[in-house]
Amino acid sequence: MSAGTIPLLDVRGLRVYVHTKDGTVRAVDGASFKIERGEALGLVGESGSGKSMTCQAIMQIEPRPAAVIEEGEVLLDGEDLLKKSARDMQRVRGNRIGMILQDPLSSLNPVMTIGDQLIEALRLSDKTSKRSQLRQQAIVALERVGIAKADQRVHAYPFEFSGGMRQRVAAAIAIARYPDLLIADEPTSALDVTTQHRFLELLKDLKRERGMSLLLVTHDLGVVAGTCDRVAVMYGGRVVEIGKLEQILRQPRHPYTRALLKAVPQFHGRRLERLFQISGEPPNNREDLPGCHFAPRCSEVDQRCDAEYPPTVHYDDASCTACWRLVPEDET
Amino acid sequence: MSNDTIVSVEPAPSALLDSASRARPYRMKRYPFLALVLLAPLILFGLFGPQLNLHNPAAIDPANALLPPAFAGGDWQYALGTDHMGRDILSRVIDGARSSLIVALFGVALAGMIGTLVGMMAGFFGGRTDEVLMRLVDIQLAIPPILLAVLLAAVIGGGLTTVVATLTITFWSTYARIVRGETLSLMQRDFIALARVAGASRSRIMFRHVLPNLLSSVVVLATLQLGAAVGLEAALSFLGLGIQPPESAWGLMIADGRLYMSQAWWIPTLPGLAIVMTVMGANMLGDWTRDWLDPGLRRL
Repeated sequence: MSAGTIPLLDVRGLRVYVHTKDGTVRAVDGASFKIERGEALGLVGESGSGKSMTCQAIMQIEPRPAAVIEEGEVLLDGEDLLKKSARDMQRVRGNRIGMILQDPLSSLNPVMTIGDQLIEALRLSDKTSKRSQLRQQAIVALERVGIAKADQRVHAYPFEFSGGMRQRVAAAIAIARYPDLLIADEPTSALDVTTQHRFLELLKDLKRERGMSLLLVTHDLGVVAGTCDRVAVMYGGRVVEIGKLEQILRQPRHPYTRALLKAVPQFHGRRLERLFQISGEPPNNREDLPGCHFAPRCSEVDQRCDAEYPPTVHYDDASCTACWRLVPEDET
Repeated sequence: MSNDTIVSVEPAPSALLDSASRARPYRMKRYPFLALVLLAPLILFGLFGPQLNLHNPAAIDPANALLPPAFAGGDWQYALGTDHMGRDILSRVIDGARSSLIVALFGVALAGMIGTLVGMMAGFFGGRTDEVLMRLVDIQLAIPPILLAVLLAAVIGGGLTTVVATLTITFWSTYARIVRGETLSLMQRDFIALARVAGASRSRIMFRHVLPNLLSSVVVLATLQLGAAVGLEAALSFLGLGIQPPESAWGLMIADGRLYMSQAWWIPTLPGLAIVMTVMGANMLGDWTRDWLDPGLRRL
């Protein structure tokens, strides 16, 4: 990660507002982060912190017309995706960026065979190959994600597969065209722990052998710990801290990250301690708060926190925080 | 523990097994046997009626009026008897099957195509498109089919075209509503989002992913409406708005025959039975089709 090279994905000041009849919700309120080539970035945060909306905005599949990308840049190899035409964006999807969603049960079209769905994905970028060739490619792709007897299973319908297998098929479709970036939006939330582990191993293998970057969205810090190189923590539509995995887990800088880590169950000896809770409620992102979004729940607030949103402090290329406690007093 | 207790306990598991084997796992019928038996006369006579070389359905023979059917004391020359003008009821029922078949199939097919397209567009594009199309549906639903037929008959005259038009205009809105709802729920499914994410165009998503998932509902609705269409056609012909004499139609025959009900019960009853068989067969076919089109049940 040398300075000066362009990162694969560079999200800058992204704002996505959801307009409802009760007012505007700032689902994503100025999120910024970068993903380097071959890097796995974990995007963590509680429900409603804007993780999924960020992913959808990168792909421009945000739920219109309620959700609107108000501001920001999504640079893929230095090119702003938000400035691309619908037709160009269609070429980016699938070819450059693949995506897996949370629910393997609804990720596949129930009336098409597994093989046909893979062939369709391949066909979108390959108009010349024969169907039989594509079928062969589909079988190889299924074998790669660990589906046994793939040559028979291509003829199966999704309902004949278990949840874990369907998620593998969804992964096979997402990576069929060798995208540079795979966005996985809570891919393991619907899977049991064993299946979850095997699926994450598969993602890691695929990332390694193809040099693919990975944006892994999750609320499970355990998933992040086993898979990611760096972690971005989102709160109230903003990225509050980014850092290397080690640093985030061992020396979190932002009070929210620290609170999040404390809320993970730890077992010391025989006695189970009462689990730490972050007091208060997540922000509803409706009112226009001038200060830090976490301030109402933060245990370390001071007078600057309520007055103005903290500036982002960069430590190096890989890490930054947005917290007044980490801004030296004399700089303000 | 004594031997007695063991003996007394023993029957329980076997009884369980018995009840388990009696409760058969759900198996789909491979063929809709009863439905086809009921519909076979309609289809066969509809297709081959003219080749059967029966009496001319329109030929009047006053000397042989009001003859009972063969099974009720008549002779086999008029197997199902004759009506008040001496016309052969068998050949008229068969001839009526043809007009019923044509009218019902055309009406349902046209309504299905229009309704599916409208409903899919409404659900797919949403917003103003949805609003406009669904208000059209509401307007349509406010018009009673019989009144519509009266109006059409006044403008273009009674006959086949009027009936098909009435059926189409009456039935398309049901498709539009159901298809719109299904489309809306399909659009929420992840595979539609993933198809977009894979770079599929809007028309591709609409016709490759949404439409095939709608087809089973549409086909089921169509087969069920086939029965309703036959019924509505009969009602229109009964009222004199549909098929016009000297053509024969079941509804027309019932209308003619109801005056002679006390002397010649067979005149309105036999076409009535034909209607019942057809509607019932179509409904059963609809139920079977629904099971058959579900890929989860098909492989059982």
